Amino acid sequence: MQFLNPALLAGALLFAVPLLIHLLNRQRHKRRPWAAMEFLMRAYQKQRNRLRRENLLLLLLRCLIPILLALAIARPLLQDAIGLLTGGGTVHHVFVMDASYSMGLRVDGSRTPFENGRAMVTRLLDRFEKNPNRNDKVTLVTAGVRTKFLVRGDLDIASARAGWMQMQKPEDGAGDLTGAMQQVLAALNETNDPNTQVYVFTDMQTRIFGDSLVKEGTESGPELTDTLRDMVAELQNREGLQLHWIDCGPLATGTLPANTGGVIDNTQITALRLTEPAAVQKSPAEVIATVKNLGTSTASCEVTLDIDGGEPMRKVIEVPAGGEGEADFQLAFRTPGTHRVRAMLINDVLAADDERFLTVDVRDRIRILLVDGKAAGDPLQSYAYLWESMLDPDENTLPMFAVEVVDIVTLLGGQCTPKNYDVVVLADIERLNNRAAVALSDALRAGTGVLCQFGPQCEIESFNLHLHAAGDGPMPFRLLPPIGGAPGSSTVRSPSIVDMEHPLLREFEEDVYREILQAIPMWRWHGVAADSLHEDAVTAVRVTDAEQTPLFVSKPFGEGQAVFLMSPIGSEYDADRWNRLDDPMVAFPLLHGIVKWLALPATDPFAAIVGSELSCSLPARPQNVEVQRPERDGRPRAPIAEAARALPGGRFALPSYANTIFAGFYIYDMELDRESGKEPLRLPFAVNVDPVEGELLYPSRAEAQTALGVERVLDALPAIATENESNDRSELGPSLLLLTLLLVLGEAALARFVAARRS
Amino acid sequence: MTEIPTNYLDPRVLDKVARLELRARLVVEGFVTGMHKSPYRGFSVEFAQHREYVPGDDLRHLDWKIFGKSDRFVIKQYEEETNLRAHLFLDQSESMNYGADGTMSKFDYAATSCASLAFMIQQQADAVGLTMFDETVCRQIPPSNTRQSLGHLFSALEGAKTRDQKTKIGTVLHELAGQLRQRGMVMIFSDLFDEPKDVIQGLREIASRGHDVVVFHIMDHDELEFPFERMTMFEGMEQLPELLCDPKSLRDAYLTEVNGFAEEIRKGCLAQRIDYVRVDTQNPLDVVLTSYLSARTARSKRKK
Repeated sequence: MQFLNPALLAGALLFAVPLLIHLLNRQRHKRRPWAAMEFLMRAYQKQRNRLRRENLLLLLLRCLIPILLALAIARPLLQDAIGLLTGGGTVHHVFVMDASYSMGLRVDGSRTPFENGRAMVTRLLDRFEKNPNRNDKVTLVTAGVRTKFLVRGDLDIASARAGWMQMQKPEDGAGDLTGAMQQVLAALNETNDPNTQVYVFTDMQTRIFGDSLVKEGTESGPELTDTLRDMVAELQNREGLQLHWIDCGPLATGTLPANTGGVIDNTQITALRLTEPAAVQKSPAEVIATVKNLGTSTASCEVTLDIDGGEPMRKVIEVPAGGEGEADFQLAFRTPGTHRVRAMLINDVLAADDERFLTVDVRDRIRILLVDGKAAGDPLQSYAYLWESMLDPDENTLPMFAVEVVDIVTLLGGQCTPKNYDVVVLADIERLNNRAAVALSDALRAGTGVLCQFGPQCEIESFNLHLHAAGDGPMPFRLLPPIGGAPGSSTVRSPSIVDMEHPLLREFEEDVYREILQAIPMWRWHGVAADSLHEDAVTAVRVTDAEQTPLFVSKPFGEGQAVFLMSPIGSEYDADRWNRLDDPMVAFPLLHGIVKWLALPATDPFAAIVGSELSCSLPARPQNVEVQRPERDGRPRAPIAEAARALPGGRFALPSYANTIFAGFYIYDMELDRESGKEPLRLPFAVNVDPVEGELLYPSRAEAQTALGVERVLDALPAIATENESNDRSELGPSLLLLTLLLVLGEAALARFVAARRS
Repeated sequence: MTEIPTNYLDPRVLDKVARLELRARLVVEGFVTGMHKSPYRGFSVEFAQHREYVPGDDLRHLDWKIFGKSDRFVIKQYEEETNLRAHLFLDQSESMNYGADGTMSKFDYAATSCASLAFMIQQQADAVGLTMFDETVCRQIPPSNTRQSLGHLFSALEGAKTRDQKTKIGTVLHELAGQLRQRGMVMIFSDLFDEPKDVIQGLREIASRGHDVVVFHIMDHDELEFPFERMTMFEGMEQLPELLCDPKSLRDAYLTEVNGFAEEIRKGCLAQRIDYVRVDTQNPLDVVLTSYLSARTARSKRKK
């Protein structure tokens, strides 16, 4: 019930004054012995009922007067009072707002569909707040990154409105209206409201209809379950429920004709990537932004790119209608560490998909630990000779790799720590022990890449025991003894590329290099037990022998990748070479490809889609974790109270953050609790939109109505929500004041009458 | 000689009462010896008349001369000069203890009245006795015209207090009626708080034995007017419960009850030719007694 002066309602408490007087009067009586008690008792028994009636009536009148007076000066409103008396107006209003990022479409500075819908919802809430019928309930649902119930069946319209006002703009997710309607239906099934009004505000983008939309060449949509149309049908069949489908998109505003629908031109950045797998400081790098034109005409797109918020670089590209273009930016990262790269399109109708974010982990060098199985012999025949000569052959350029060569004793003795390197190469070492195997596994879990070359010196059982570990280790197969002919003999095979898309072979894109690789002679190689090959193992290259023995096999383990080479790449000065993979035409791209790929973790947790949960593994326990959200989010830093979870290998999982509803950089700030003390750490995560929502295609109004199975899709609020808006309230204050006056007169007359009778 | 307590004998009151002649209406001719002739034909020294003998008459009173002359049995009757035998019945139940603030209680008022009348009767050399009662007879002083007896009576009145007992005047009068062998005057001082029919029955029994009965219905002014204004907790006497009420709201109903009760008693008395005097303790004692005695004297003269 609403009052114009609600504070004055407190005056109703004065009703207690007559009661208090009555009670005090009873307390303050005089005691008197009385002889003629029988006469008094008889008189009392005869008069008791009448006296009680008179006293009760007087007391009621005297209590009622301050209550009515307080009501009168608080000025109640008529419809509320009627609702209070009749119990009418019990309506459950359910607002479902499409909060996907296509609702942020802004054509020529006009209001976005979201702003249109929001204004309508706010108008309704304002009206409900000013004129709240008894038991009216409000449910506010947004279909954005996830379906979110801002308010669920709230009776307090003011708090519902306050909850709604927090929703200032659409989220950057690709909304799932069908899922939202499913959840609304489930929520309504839990209630038993006799009168429910459901209002759905959306831009009617083709994407929301999914399979409900009639395909070309068919007369009706497919008979599927759980489509949007099924949800609509189920809602409409519900007794006492009215569904209002309100278009606040370009068809409603006249941007597109309602009878035909159409497309609104939109360009978006669908990808942002480094051409090199790993970035090294001061080394040239190329960043490519892929731009997609979802419009109907060629678009000239100006793309800017900035690093860590610095001075942006600009590039203008022409992108054909429906096609893609790439804007490439040549740059070099001056300092090691994690850098934030942002690409942005200028002057576009839909802002959310005009930005793309990327985090780049830049190293000073790619640190390689080479465990050389021939370190003790002739240096020219060692594996180190080949690796050092191949990785940084040009003395005039800055070295990209830092190779540290150790012998097997250093590894087995635990005098080196593999997880401190980006890549560990086991070059034809004889065997492993448990300590070395554990160190290698921990390094892999921490993201270090491991390349294992099996050569003539390898003891098969040692590797099967420690690296295969009955299928639990990083080696995804059981190693078999060497097969093939004698080096240099006529029994020769060659490599055969199985998976050209494998990152190991990224340097062999050109046909000539592939042919060279596949022409390389292979005399000996280790066999692989075919039945032991792990399902996660990927074979990139095989040997052209009868068994099609895998030559290059990779498998992710922890956060790192392990690559196994069945025939080692040796030195050209070694007469007992099993192959000629040391040919510079092959060795150079092969080693570069292997090392750069292995230097990256198996998965990149720092690149995510809006709505994803952010987390990664850390080498020490994080403390005082906070998340700085992107500018578009607008909210302050969020401390994360959740404790870090311990992972195998002495690592810890960063406490996750799931509320990624806007695209941009989510920057974790924390302190790592290391043995040497607290170490501050800053980790930026790049969160990007799903480009599918950026296709601004809208069906005609008729198609939309058919797809939804509704009679009408509205352009504005339904009449039921706006009728009698101005006439639905009138003030009861004067009437109550008159009634109070009558009661005062009545009380005075009754009191006088009673007093006269008793005097 | 016993010293006569005088605190009940307000000289102003007794002065007025002493100058009046108390005359009995039907049987008792007067209080003072020699001033009254008894209407009863007894057997004294002064012949009055003859009457026919009826079986059962005392043969000592046969007039043998008449028998000898006329052969008829005739009994001689004499005019008897009698003394008044006055019985004062005083109610000392708990309800008599009530008295409005600053005024005499009903019991004190009644006792003073008794003392005044007893003194006056004794002055006339008539016999006066006292009976005090509540549920039962508590104390009795037989009628006597001696000053010693009057002293006992005064002492008894002075030492009397109300008792925490209820009034059962009907039962008591029934009991006393059997004890009063000689006819005389019975004056009852009580608030009569008992069932009216029991009260009237008791009075009837006494009156039917030839006694001249006067009922002084003693009521406090509060009991007659119920003048209270504020919320009051009335604590019942004679083992009756309490009642918290607004007196104004019950005043009419209460007065109706009280007046109805008094009227019923009055009518019962009238039917038995019993004098009923309603006494408001607020009125001066001398005025009440004087008024009654004046009225009684006037009535008696009219009859003659």
